[in-house]
Amino acid sequence: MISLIMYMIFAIVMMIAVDWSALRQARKINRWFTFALSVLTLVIWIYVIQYKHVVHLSYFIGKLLDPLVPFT
Amino acid sequence: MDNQITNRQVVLLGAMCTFNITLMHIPVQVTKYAKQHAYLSYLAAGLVVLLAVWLLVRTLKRFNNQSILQALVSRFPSVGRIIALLYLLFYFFIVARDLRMLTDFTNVVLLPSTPLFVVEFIMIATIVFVTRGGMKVLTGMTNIFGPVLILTTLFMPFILVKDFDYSLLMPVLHIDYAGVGKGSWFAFSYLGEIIAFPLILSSQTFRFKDGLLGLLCGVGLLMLLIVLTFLLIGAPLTTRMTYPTYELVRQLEITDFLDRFDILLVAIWFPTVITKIAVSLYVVCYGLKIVIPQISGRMLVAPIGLLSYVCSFWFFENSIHLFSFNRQLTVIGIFFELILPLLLFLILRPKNKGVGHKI
Repeated sequence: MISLIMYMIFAIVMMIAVDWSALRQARKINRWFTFALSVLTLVIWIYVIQYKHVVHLSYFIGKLLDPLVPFT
Repeated sequence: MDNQITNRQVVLLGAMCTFNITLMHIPVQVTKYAKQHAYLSYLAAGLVVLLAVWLLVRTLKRFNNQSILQALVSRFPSVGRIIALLYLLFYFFIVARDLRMLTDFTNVVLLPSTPLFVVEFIMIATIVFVTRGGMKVLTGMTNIFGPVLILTTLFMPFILVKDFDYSLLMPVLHIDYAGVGKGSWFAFSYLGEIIAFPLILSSQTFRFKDGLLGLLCGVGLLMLLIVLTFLLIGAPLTTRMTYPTYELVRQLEITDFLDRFDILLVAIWFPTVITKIAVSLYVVCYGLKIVIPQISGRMLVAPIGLLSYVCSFWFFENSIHLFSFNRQLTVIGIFFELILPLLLFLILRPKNKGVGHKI
């Protein structure tokens, strides 16, 4: 599991490094969005690869929307 | 950027976006209810989607040189942004879903020993590079692989004709209309993804004729493939498979010595799916730029791509879950592909008719 987290951190670092010069010159909001999305990505990734029970979003949405499907 | 796309490219893009992901799981679910008349379900769903496209094109025509998302945000700054954000989230979900579908297919058929997350990472890296190229790269890729895929699909009946069993299509006139209707429920949300184009293109680039031809092409190819599947494999067996179109393609034999001819067809089809997912990612980034103008859409392609990568694992536990979610997905599809276009048709008009509006 630790190795998977390290792969993701490496991917995020590479992604930011490739665009770093363009990010520095662009408006600040791009940097904020990139970092926020990266943090969100890491959090979801750690949640998904853990050993405990993972709630998959479409199970949840599926249960909500199942009464609206007009046939069984 | 908009002006560089010709109408022919828009038609090809539309055809690819309706056709190449739908052929994976949907034939199974449509056949389960419509049996040997599954091709009628595609037709029925296609007609409803055509109505949605017509509504959006009529709305698009009211605004010169603006896409629906641009017009929405300029006309209704706050409510428009909320609706644009909802469309973004919908297409983000579609990116995650298609990515996961393609990865599971690759894992089952092509690379069984490679871990899922490695396969998917390679795909998302490719898709991010394609999307960063912009509309030019998307249309370029479609220009190459789209016609090749269409021609290959049209040639398939001639290669397979000797193995047809026409009794598997019988009875032809005894149609279970309720079953056909239930089958069209599954096809609808997939075919409806063509509404991405009026959202991102202006009325000069996307006309109703382009949407109609693209949809016709996509639905026609889907109908052809499912009829071929029935003629070779039969409807009852189709419902037992996960990838019936791949099983159909495996039946192709040109000569005795050309083994694994299906790999060639998968190799032609694969880039079109990459392009389709890239189009959906482009819609997300384009929409984000419309909602927050200070953002550079091109720079955020990679972070959003990476987020969709992890979300594809979070949203779906496995491919069977993705398969069974198609039932509830149409409820979401009806909201975004029918109700919202109707709402936009009714309320989205320029402020002053005949006078230029602020952009």
